[in-house]
This record gives sequence, structure tokens and C-alpha cells, in this order.
Amino acid sequence: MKESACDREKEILAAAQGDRLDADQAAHLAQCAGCRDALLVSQWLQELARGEELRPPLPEAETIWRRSEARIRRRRQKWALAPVLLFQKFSRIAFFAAGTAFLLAYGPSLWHSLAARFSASGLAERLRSLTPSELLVLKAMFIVATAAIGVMILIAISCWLGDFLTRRKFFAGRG
Amino acid sequence: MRPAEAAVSKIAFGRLYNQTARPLQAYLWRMCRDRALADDILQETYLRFLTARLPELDERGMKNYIFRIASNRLVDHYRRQRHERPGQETVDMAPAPSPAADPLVRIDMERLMAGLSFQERQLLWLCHAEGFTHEEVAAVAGVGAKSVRVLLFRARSKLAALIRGSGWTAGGTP
Repeated sequence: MKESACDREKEILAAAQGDRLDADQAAHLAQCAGCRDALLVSQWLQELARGEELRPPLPEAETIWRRSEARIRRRRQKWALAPVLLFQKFSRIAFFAAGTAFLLAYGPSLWHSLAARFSASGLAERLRSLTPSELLVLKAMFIVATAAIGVMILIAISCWLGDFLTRRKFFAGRG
Repeated sequence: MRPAEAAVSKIAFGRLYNQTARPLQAYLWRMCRDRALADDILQETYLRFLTARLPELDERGMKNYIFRIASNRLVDHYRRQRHERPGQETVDMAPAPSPAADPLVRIDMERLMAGLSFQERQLLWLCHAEGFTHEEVAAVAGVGAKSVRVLLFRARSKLAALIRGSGWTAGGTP
């Protein structure tokens, strides 16, 4: 069985839809099953399509135009900020990488040097000679200083995170 | 990729939208039979069209391009949702409610359409309801230009058999 449309299908469909079938075309239609199928399906689908005209209202062209403008603006902003964001990302990675490398390279020797200075300066002896009340004040000062440094680090992290999330949310906006 | 400027002027878009939005809505509705999804894809299609880098196209070319974007979006949606594989499924979907002179006839017609696969519906609708040429249908549906004739022939034979089985005749009910 031939699995392709008849070569005269286009001509027959156009003539039949305009009610302009001549004798030759009518004779062809009577004997060509492919053209009959095509005509039947075409008339049927056009009948179905007529009902589509009463579909629900469409959004205004103006609304779509404005949304597209907003999308283009967002893309431009993203494009313009891309180098800055890339630099920020790179500088953070570089900072952490440099910090880690420094600690790995000099950390152990720094620790030993500090420990040596601590014993050489006689500070350990002086701490042992302090009265319990003096030691308590010193401990409190140490705790306050540590807490202050911790809070500052937390504030810095939350600022960075807030900035990061805000930017992420801004660029992830739909449109 | 650098962001694109608006691909067409506002006036040209308004004209193009008025010419193509209703047929596109009908096409999407016919393909997915989900009003909300059809409307979403319609809007997204025009947004993509307006923000894309377009080649030089005449009005007909723009219409084809719009239908192509819509078809791709629809296929993407189905892939994402893992609903059905467009082009292969013949799922039993409820007939769409359709405003018509004779609702019973319309429901029968909808039922017949539901008996076709996504690709069959797509090819037949584009070719016979929208009047696209085989080359245009191939571009919109993403199939080879040579395959279209055969696929269309098979789809048409299938639908013709269904129509004859329903007793429908042109210009009147059975």
C-alpha cells in the first residue's frame, strides 16, 4: 500500500473547499481514497476549528510587551553585573584558599614560636602567681573578648549571606 | 549569551499578536486540553519570541517561528512533567468542553481527536486547520520534511476511519 499523499491532493482540496471542482477533479476524487480522506479530514478539522473562535479572552498584547521589556531589562542587568559577581566569587575563593595555604604552611611553626615565647617571657609563672579573684577577672575579660570577636564574625557572615540571597532572589525572578 | 533587544517593534508586535494569538491559543488548547497550561505557554511563547535573537523573517515566517516555540515549550513541559511522550502516546483524555451550536456533536468530535496521538493531532491541526505547508509543519513539529508526508498520511487515514465510524458528514450531523 502506498503510504504517502496523492500528488493532486493540494489541487483537489483547494478546488473542493472553494466549490470549484471540475469534471476531471470530481472523477479523480471519486476514485482516489487518499484525496477523499484528505477532504473529509480537512472539512472535519475546519468544523472543529470554528468552535475555537469562542475561546476565553487572550491577554493584552500590551501586557506581554511590557513583560518582555522587563525581562530584557533584567537580562541586561544580569549581563552588566556578571563580571562584578564573578570577581566577587573569585576573590572569596582566593581569600579562603590563601588563608588555608598560609595556615598550612606557617601554622605549626607559628604555634611553636608562640609557645616558646610564652614560657620564655615568664608569663606562665606570672599567671600561676595571680590570686583567684584576679584570675576570675582575667578569665571574664578573655571570654568577653572572644565573644565579641565571635559576634563580629557572625555579623559578617550573615551580612554576606543576606547579600548573596538577596541577589540570588533578584535574579531568580520570573519573567 | 548577550541579551537581545526587542526583536520587533511594538506596533509590529501588536499586529502580529492579533493575527496569531487566537490560532495559537486554539492550537495549544487542542494539543494539551488544559486551559491554564495553554495560556501559560501562549504567554511564554510570545515572551520568548520578543526576547530572542530572530533571523530575518517575513510575517508568515514569524507565525511559523511562534508556533515552533510553542510546540517546543509544550514538549518541554511534557518532558518535565513526565506525563506522556509526545508523538507516541494515545492517552484517554476527557473531551474538552467546547462552545458550539450542537454540544453533543462537538463532544463527539473532541472524543475522536482524543483518539489520536500528540504528534498526529499536531500534524493534522497545523496542516488542515492552520493551512501550513508540509515544510512548515515539519519545521514546527520538529520532524523531517520527508517524514511529514508519510506521518500525515497515516494520521489522516486514522482520523478518516474514526470520522467515518462516527457517521459524521460535512455540513451536517450524521
